[in-house]
Amino acid sequence: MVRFLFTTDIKLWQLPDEFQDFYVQHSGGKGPDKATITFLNRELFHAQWKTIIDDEFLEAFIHGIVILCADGVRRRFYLRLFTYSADYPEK
Amino acid sequence: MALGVMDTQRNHFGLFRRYFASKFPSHDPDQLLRTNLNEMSDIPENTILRQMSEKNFAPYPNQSSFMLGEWYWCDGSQKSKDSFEKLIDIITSPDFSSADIEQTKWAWIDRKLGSSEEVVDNESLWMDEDPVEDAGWAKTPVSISVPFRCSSPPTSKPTRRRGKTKIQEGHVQTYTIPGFYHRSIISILREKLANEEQFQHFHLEPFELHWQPGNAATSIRLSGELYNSPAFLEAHREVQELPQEPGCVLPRCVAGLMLASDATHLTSFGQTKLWPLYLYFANDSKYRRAKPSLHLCNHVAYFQKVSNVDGQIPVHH
Repeated sequence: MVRFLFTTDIKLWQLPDEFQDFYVQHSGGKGPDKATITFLNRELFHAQWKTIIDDEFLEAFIHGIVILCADGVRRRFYLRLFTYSADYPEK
Repeated sequence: MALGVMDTQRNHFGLFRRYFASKFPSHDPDQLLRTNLNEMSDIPENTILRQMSEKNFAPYPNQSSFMLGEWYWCDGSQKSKDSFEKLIDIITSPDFSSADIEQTKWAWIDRKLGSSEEVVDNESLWMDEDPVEDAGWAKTPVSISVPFRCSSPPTSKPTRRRGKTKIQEGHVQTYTIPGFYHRSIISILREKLANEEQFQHFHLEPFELHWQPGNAATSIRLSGELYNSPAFLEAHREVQELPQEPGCVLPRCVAGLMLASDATHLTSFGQTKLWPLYLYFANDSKYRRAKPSLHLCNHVAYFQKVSNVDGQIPVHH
């Protein structure tokens, strides 16, 4: 049972067929090397962050956003980032 | 705008707060601590339990509806005296209110219970539901540019001339991940501030916390909460000093974001792995943030990797 657990864990980090196929199709037969995967994961991570930090977020960051609070008072809230703790899964 | 310095009275422990404002805030979450200390404990308090439980009966809108529905579905198909007594127990229980079941849409609930997929229903089941509740999850395709060294079209072999491999230009292809799940941070903030229970604990103004015991001549600055920190005070000051938005005289506040992401295994055996992005608000006390039962941790997104794009993404509540 323990062996089985380890096997599945290792498999997790292998490329799924879909991306592998895409890469092989465009590279003329070669799969991506480790450095390329690291690079692509980083690109993808930042592309996803770009989706989160959308125009609405930036507007609220720069000009604030008016929100009606539960006490019936409208206030202008400015988003500010204080902490970001993260792992680095590409390592 | 010049900000004054306002000190509160010292309390029993010699603690006082220093605000940089022209008056003390009218909204003071810490006042609740005096009456609500048991919130810091893990012993459930009836009022909190009651408030939270309303949502836990979904798809039933309330406890009364759930009790009846459960009796109908789970108590066997044959009527018996025993079953009849259970029904009597339900409708005579103090938790049961016939007003609660007047508007319950039984057929809709049964359909939803029988459906295996997450039903996204525009029709609002809850009579008193806040329109911002549950809003904001989106599934967006995300594209990246993937560089390739050779420019040859797929399957063609590198051309050779005079025994040497021709140096070819690289090319770039776009790879798209169909479904990146994420939520608008603004909608999370809106939802939080519209919620009375959450808003009353939300610190709108940071302050310095000082300790000056007994006859001490000077005070010592204490740190402990984000909203006592130099970083928060500085952000607050910066926001107060921003040029006013045209025609806007509303109070201005900082919404402090604290983000965290950590890849996590969902199961012991499967390959299901998630890389969620969490969000806490620095305006909440750490004692409340650290209490899982208060649900102050918001999920903002589920990141994907090229090496894990097929990972199963669970359906969100």
